[in-house]
Amino acid sequence: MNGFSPFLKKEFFELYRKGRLLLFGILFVFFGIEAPALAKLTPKLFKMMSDEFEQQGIVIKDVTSTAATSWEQFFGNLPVILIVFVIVFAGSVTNEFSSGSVIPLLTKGLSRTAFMLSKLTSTLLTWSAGLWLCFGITYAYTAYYWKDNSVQSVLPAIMLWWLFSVMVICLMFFFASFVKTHIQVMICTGSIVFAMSIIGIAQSVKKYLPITVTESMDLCTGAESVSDILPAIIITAAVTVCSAVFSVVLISKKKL
Amino acid sequence: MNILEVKDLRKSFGSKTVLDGLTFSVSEGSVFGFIGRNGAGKTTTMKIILGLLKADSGEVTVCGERVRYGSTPTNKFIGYLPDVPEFYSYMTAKEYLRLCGEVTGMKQSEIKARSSELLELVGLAQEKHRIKGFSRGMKQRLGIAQALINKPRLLICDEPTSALDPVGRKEILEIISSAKGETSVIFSTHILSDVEKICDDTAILEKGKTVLSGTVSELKAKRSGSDLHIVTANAGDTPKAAQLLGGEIFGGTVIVRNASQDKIFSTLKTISENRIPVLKIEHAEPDLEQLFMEVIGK
Repeated sequence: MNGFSPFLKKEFFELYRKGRLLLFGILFVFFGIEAPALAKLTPKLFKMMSDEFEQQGIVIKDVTSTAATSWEQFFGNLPVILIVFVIVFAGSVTNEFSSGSVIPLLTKGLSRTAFMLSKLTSTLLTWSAGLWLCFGITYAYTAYYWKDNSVQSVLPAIMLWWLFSVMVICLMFFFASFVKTHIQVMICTGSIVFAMSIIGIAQSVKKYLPITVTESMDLCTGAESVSDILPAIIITAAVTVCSAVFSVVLISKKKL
Repeated sequence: MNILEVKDLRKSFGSKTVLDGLTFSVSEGSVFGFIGRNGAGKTTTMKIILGLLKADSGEVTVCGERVRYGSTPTNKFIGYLPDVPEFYSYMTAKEYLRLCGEVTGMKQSEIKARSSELLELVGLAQEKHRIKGFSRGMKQRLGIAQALINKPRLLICDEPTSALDPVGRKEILEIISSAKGETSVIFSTHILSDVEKICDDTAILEKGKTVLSGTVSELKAKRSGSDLHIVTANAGDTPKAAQLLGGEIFGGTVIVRNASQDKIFSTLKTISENRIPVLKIEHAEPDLEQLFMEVIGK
C-alpha cells in the first residue's frame, strides 16, 4: 500500500487549509451546545409567549423540559449535520479524478488502494471525532442541568447512530469509486437513505432496515432494546463493510 | 540501450481505433519528439506507458521492465508532466514537492535538498504563494520540478508548451534541455519548431501508427530538395498550372518538388509562356512542418 501515510497527511492538511476542520469544529460544538440549551430555554420561551397565546385563546400550562428533551433535540440535529458533511465531502474522490490532481501522485507510485483508504480514514476520523465531541458536550450539559430519569442510557443510541453515519459515509465512497461527479455521489447516497425511509413505512421489513438503528429516542427511553433491532444492526454493519471493500476494489478500475 | 520500447501497441475506444500497431523506441540520454495532430493518440500512448490506461494489445517496456496496467512498478523510473497539470491549489510549491517526495519514498533530507535544487532550476525558489495564484507557465514549471523530484531516468512531457505564450514556451524548452543531462525525455507536441529546437530523435504519429521516425536531420533529409510554391491569381488556373508544371496541389497551392535553379527558370518560363496570372511564387526550404503536412496528407 504505497503512499498511504503521506497521502493521509495530505488529506488532513487539506482539511485544515481549506478550513473544513474549523467549519466542522464550529458546527459540532454549536450543535453540542444547542441541544441542551434549547431544551433548557423551551419552558422559558413558552412562558414569555404565554400572554400572547392567551389573547388568542390558547392556554399554556406549565411546560417542563427533561433530559429526554435535550437528547431528542440532539438526535434530531444529527441528520442535518450528516447531510452537510456528505455535501462537503461528496467531491473528495471525484474531484481528484476529474481535475487530474491525483495523476502526478499515481505516477509516482501512490497505489489506488492507499488513495482510497487514506480518503476513507481521514473522512471517518474527522466525522467520528466531531460526532463524539458533539455528544460529549451535550452529555455534559444534560447531566449538569437534569437529574431526572427520563433517559435510561444514551450510549447504545449514540453508538448505533455512529454506525449508521459510518455506513452512509462508506456508501458515499462506494459511489464515488465509480461515478464521475460529486453531484452523482450525493444523489446516489441520498437516494439510498431516502429509499430506506420509504420502505421503512412497511412495519414488516422495518427491523431489517439500517435506518431503524437511528430511532434513538426509543432506545434512550427503553421503549426498544438493542436486541429488538439486531437484524438491522447486522445489516448496517454488513453494508458498511461491503461498501468500504467495494470502494477499494472499484477505484482500481476507475478510468483516468 | 533503449530506455523505452513500444511495440505494436493497439488501443480502441469503442469503434474508434486510436493506436493501430504503434512502434517506437527512445534511446538513453536523448530528447525524443513525439509529433502528431491533436487527437492523434499521443496522450493515449503516454497514459499506457504510465500504466494509467490499458492497451488492447502490444508491449511497453521501460528500462527493460514490462509496464503493467494499474500500479506499475516501472513508474519508479518515470517522471510525468501532464498536458494541463493540476496540483493542490492550497499548497505552496515547496509543500507540493514534499508530498511528491514522500509518496515516492524519499528521505526528508533528500526531499529538502532536491526540492531547493529543482525550485531553483525552474525559477520558483522565491515563490512563497500558494499554487492557487500560479499562472499557467508557473504551473508547467512546477510540473517539471515534480516530475524530476525522484531523479527519473525517463521524463515524459505531454504537450508541455502547447498552452503557453512564447516566453513561457522558451523557458520550458530551456528547462527540458537542461534536464537532458540527467534523464531521457519524451516530449509530445504539435509545435514543430519546438521539436527542431530541442529534440534529437522524433517520430510522427498518424492514424495510430508511426509514419516517420529518425533524427531531425534524417527526417529533413527525406525531403531531397527545396520546393517551389505557386499560388495562381485565379483559382480556376490552379489545375492547369499544376499540369503544365508537373506539380501537386496542396490547399490551393501548386507545389513543384526538387526545385533546382534550372527547374525554377523553366517553371517561370512556362508560367510566362502560358500567361498564367500568379499571386505568389515562393522558393521554400524544406522544414519539418512541410514534411509533417505531407505525411499526414494535408
